[in-house]
Amino acid sequence: MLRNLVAKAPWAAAVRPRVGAAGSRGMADFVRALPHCNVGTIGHVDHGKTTLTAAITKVLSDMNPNSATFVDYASIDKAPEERARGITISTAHVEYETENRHYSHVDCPGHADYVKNMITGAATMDGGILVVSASDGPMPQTREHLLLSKQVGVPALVVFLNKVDQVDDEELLEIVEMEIRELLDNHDFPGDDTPIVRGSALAAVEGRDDAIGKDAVVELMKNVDSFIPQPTRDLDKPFLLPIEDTFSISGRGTVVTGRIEAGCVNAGEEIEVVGGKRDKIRTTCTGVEMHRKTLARGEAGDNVGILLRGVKREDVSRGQVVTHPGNITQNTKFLCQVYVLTQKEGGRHSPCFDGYSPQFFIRTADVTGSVKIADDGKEMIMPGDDCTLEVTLQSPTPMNEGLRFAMREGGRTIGAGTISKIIE
Amino acid sequence: MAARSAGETHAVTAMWRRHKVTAAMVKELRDLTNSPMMQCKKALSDPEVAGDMEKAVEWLRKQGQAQAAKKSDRTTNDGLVGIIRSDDLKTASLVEVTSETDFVARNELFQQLVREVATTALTSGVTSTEELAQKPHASSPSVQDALTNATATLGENIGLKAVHQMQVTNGVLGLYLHNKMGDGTCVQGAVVALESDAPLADLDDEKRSTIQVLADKLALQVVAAQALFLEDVPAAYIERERELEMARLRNEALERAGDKEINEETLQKRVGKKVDKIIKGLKEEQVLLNQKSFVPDHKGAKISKLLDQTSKSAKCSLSITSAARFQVGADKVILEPIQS
Repeated sequence: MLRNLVAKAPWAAAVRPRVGAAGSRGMADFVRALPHCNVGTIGHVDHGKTTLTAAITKVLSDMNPNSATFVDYASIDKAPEERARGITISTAHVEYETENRHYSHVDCPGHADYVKNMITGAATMDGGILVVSASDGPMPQTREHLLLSKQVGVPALVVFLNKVDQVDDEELLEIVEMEIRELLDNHDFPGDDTPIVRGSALAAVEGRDDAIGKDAVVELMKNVDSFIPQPTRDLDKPFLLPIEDTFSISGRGTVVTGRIEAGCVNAGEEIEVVGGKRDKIRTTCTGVEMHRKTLARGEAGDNVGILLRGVKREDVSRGQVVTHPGNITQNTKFLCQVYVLTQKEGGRHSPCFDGYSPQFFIRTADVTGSVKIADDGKEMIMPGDDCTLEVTLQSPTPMNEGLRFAMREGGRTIGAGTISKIIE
Repeated sequence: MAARSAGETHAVTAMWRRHKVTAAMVKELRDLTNSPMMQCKKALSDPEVAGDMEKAVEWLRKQGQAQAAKKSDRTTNDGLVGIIRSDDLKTASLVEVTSETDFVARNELFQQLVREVATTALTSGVTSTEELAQKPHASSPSVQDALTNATATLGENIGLKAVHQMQVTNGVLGLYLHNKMGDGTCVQGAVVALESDAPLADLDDEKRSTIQVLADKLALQVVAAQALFLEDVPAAYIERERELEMARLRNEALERAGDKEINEETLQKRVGKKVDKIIKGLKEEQVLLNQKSFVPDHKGAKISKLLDQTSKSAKCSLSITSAARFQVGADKVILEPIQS
């Protein structure tokens, strides 16, 4: 009952303990549910990404000690190597909250690390903070930063114009802003509408010159709150359950089990089983069960069994998905961005070429597919490379753009990928 | 201290009045040089420059040197390898230019720099980075100067790490650039010298092109299979590996045996056999001529056999005289015949 109530509230998916608020003195944790958003800083090494990250945590924690823990640069700058799905990525992680949202904030040293993050889903970016030093202006490689943002699918950027105290000429600040807006426009970001906040991250960390320090950081976060769109929560997406197993229960019919990936399903709703060599099966969900108890509805994150009306057990199998009708297509050919694991990460030791055919683990499906390198002028994939591939699967598999998958060979994972475009 | 800085500010303001450095002039200089905004302003405001564009460019160049010196101890693990081959396919140069991040390596300005450094290496024929750094270069007085300039505009420590020259007399040079970023630059690349006993010019076009294709595929093989040696594993290397493996396997055997007493002689024999196997593997895997081809067109074929076959069909004698593999952030690998 309570569960259902909580789940119906719009913030349900974001229920999480507050950052840094330990349940000390026997008090229960104060849990406030805020929508969650992933952001990252990008910019030139000397433009103050780390200082800004430190400044954000400082300003927010000064305003409300429960909303963030001050992290100084020394601890951020390390960008420790971590392993996500077996892949080594250098990422610095910080968490904080504004009044409106809870944020996970990442910072990576290089292009390759951001791409690995995107492909493995270790740290996706729903938005980015582009840091530009006002005294330098955009650097030639700022282009590369924007290209990266496009490549990893960052929907919106907010710009922090740092070190404004080093520029003594309002006109020059305007020129720098103009250059930034021009660059944004050139890379399909809305140059005119993108907020550019002027300030000094160092002033904020040192607690001086509030106008360009603390206030600027507050202003920046206000813009991040409003300009970076809230990503759709899994619960608000259309219903989808990848089938893990199938059972036949005498007297009741066929039950498929799995963890609901997105959306919710109610008993009595019309649903569709998609995937595999057969046609789609239209049927009705006659019941949702969890832990041998009947549920009125199952929702994202639940491990459930779904009772299908009039479907034989041999008609459904692991690898298919159950959805609301028309919600997902099954395809055999797609473009994807992949990262191929190095030998150290447990991957291959030798390169591969066009025609290489590993197993593709797409949700619960396990399908053989053959690859064709889709990057211009690239003829060989070495372990440790990331690249674009065109994959042809042996059997139609339910998929959508943005879906992540693993590539395996002889029982070990050799790569990870994200579907960028469905071809057929 | 405070008085001095106030005095300075005053002097600067006074100077502006005299030369009138407008924002438009700063922008013009920035567009011309790609230099940081405030550097451009400082350049134009300098009493020596007094708003003169040409002098400002020179001022930036000098200032860039000072800044580059400050950045020179920062670690550079990224960058690009540049490979340029002469039009007659008989000479080629490899260079490695490093940067701090791969963002810079992906930038067109940096790629052009690396390409130009490789070209300077090719035309000058020098074999050490010190010599190459002093050579006149593209539009700069020297390669070093161009690197310093790049450090100033890109704001990262840019360094010249390695250079290598390759040549053949009769044959051709094969190239392979892995993860190409623009023309002639890549993250890892190799050059193979495929020498012939007779000038290839005497052959017909088809045979010549077969040999050229083979040379390029051999370069791909060098990157694909990461060979360390050309014809054989040097004796000293074998000796070192043997000792290491012996010690490792002996320890393993002793650990397994625990308290049980073991016969030293049989242990030596058993371990010796295993080490022989490892050495044999080493010779197959690390020696280019013994390796099996990774190239899809002739996958699995032994490289030395491939050479023989092509030699026969082209009616000349082909041999690999040397090969070089450059990888960003790793030591260069040069494959050469063992000197006897």
